[in-house]
Amino acid sequence: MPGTDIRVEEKPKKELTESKDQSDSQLFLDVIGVMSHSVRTTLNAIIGYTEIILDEKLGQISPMQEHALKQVLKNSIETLDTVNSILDASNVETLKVEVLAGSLPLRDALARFERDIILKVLQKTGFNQTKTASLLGTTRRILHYRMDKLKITEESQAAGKGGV
Amino acid sequence: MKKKILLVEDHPANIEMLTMGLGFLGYTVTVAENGMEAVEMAAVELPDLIVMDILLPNLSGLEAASRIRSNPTTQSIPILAATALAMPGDMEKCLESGCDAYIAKPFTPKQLAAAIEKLLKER
Repeated sequence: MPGTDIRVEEKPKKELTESKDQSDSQLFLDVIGVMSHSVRTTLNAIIGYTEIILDEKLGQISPMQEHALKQVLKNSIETLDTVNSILDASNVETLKVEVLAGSLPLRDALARFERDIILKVLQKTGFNQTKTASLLGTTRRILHYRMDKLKITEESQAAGKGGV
Repeated sequence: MKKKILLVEDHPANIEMLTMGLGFLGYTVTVAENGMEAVEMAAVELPDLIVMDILLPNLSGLEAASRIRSNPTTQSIPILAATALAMPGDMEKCLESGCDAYIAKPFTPKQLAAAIEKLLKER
């Protein structure tokens, strides 16, 4: 419409984008939180029952049963480590703050973040390369999900807009 | 004398496992399956300690802990938050609501018993 001040219309659009960005971010954290809660609740029962049986509170167990139960325990703990690694990887907000502070270019910060994750997963899995590759794949998928937001943030900073 | 624990938990397998595990370790366990029941049972049973799950039906563990703290009859009962909520800030929320300590799932009955004993000793 002639004579309409378009700046008035731009503001709500920007607010809408920021609001969607925040709700996407919250949704992502909510999904991770629900996943973590469900896995931890189930693992609690598995690990607890396994300890009770291994302690022979429900009767004597054979060496073969003991071996099998120890495998259940070991694999349960590995599952928990996987969940914790994903939770660590989801904590990209820390990285976002560093980018905003201008201490590191985005590319360098992501490379450093990925290297830290690789080292952490290698340590947790006893330097098992197959498991590390699998966990790294998950981490990268999460990072790609977050990349757009980080790029937007970096562009905003370059334009002098900044702000977390 | 056996210590009396009020276990507040809504997950059937965890109720059975923890009742069994704590029983084997020498505790007497009573169970509340939601937050409202926890508040009521705390006042009637007067347990030595409450093991409180947080995500519960009817009334959350956080609200239940807060109500137990504000009731003069139950305010001094130690509350151990035992929850699968393990995201940043979850522990702080539990402590702010009135819980005295926090343990994140998964844990074994022995690990839970160690946390219970530590809290009982501190109180």
